[in-house]
Formats: sequence, C-alpha cells, structure tokens
Amino acid sequence: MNKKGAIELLIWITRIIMTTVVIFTIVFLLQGYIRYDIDVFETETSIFANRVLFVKALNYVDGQGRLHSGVVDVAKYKGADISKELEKEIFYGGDNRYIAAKISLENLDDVEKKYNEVYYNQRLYNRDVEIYKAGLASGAGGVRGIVKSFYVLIKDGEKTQKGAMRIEILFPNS
Amino acid sequence: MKKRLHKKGAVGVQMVLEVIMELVLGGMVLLTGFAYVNAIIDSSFYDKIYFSRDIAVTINAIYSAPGMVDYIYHKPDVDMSKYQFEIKSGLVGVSKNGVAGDLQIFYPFGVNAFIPIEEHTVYGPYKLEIKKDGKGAAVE
Repeated sequence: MNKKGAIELLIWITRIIMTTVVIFTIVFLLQGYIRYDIDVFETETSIFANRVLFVKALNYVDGQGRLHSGVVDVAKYKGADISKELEKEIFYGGDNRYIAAKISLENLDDVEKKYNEVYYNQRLYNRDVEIYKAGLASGAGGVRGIVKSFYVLIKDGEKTQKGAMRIEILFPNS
Repeated sequence: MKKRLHKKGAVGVQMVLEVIMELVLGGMVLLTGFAYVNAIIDSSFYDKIYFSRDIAVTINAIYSAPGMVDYIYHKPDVDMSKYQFEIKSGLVGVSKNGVAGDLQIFYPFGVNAFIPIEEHTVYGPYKLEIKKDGKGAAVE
C-alpha cells in the first residue's frame, strides 16, 4: 500500500467511526425523549392510605356488620395480631417487597394517652427505613416514602374521642 | 483493461466508489433511525407497562372502596384487543394477544384475603369489567 492509499484508508476508517458516532447520537437523543417508566407512587400510596382507613382489622364494625371508616377501634388497634390482620386485608404476597408502613395514633382529646405504633410489613419497613431517612430515593436501591395524616375518631369501649392517624408509607424502587 | 484506464479515468472510478460508500454510510444512519423510530411507534412495551400498572392501581382502588363495586375499564385511545390480561395471585400480567412467548409485564396489587380475586386470563378484550362484592372479586 502506497502513501496515498494509507491516507485514503485512514480517512475511511474515520468516516466509519463518525457514522457510528452519529448513529449512537441519534439513538441517544431519541431515548432522551422516551420514557418507559410510569410513576404511580403518589396514586398508590394515596390508595394504600385510604385502604388503611377502610380495613376491618383496624376500624370499628358495628353489631350489624357495618364498617365505620375512620373510626379506629382501640381494642383492635392494641391487639397482638393487628399487623397480621392488616396484611391479610392488604395482601401483597407472602414475601412483600413492595410496600411497608408505620401507623401511629394520637389522641387529640387526651394527649396523655399513648398508643403503640402499628406496622404493616414490619420486616420491609425495618430494612428500608434508614435508606428512606437518608434521602436515597432514586435508583434501583432507593426508597421513596410519604406521610399521610388523617383526622379519625378513636373508639375506646363506649367512649369516642378525637384523634389523628399518621401513616408513614415506604415504597422501595425495586 | 487496466492499461486502457488512463490516470483521469482511474480518479473518476475512485470518486464514484467514494460516493457509493458515502451513500451506503448515509443509508445505514437513515435505516437505523427508521428502525428505531419504528420500534417506538409499535409502543407495545410502553402499553404493557401502562396497562399492568393502571389495572393494578384500579384494582387497589376498588379494593379500598367498601361494598359492591362494578367498574368498566376501557381506554378508547389504546387498542386493548391487542393484549391479553392475566390476573393471578396479586399480579396483573399483560402481554401481546396471541403471540406465544411474548414478554409479559407484571405489576402487583394488594388482594384482600377475605375477598379473593378470581385467577383469570382475558384475551384481547374491548374493555374489562372489574367487579367486587362481599365474597370475591373478578376481572372479566
């Protein structure tokens, strides 16, 4: 190969490399405008919180079997199996790696009265709470969370008092 | 032949070859672009992600409502008949209707163990009917 041929070859190699770069640039630019990810975080967590307000495991059911949404039955809330009962009514499979929550209750009429926190899927909550608190919300290992608060009624025997329910929901990205 | 090609002719042939090569390279860029855009226009992957999530969220919303619920799920903008919808053990699976081995996209929803959902596959529907009463739920 003479000198001119070598130069020609070099030019063509450069052209092919440039073409490849152009192809990848086009694909890359197009990909920037395409999103396959559909974020349902807000919707799902809102629905989850509303579901908690409607579960029989937590809310008062009268003698006729009617559920009183947003009326927390203290006897149920303090029950030893409350977490298991909650998970039966919102069942994401035996190994739920999808959603977890911590529910806390505050008595607004009697602030001295304290209630324990109730966990939904405590195993996942304990695993992911530190990631959430650290603010690592993006990426595959990230955890997003949201706190939803509701005014509720607390039914303790025959007595009904005003209260507030706080639901901290954790939603791992993967 | 070689002998008959004088210097000017050889340069001309070379120029033609160069133009052909440039056209081939340009064609490659165009073809790649078209193929990629075509794949996007097909959009079945996006549709499957969309449907699996949307139906799972809808089932969750229906479960969160007390009493009997009967909901017609229909998306006039998207041809639902191209897909099949599988409901199984807390998962919505969506794949192309009648395409064996098509990648199925799943999304979970929370079942109420006291109101179990019927495991069922709906093939190429025009719409879905999501029903729930005190005893069970179903997607038809």
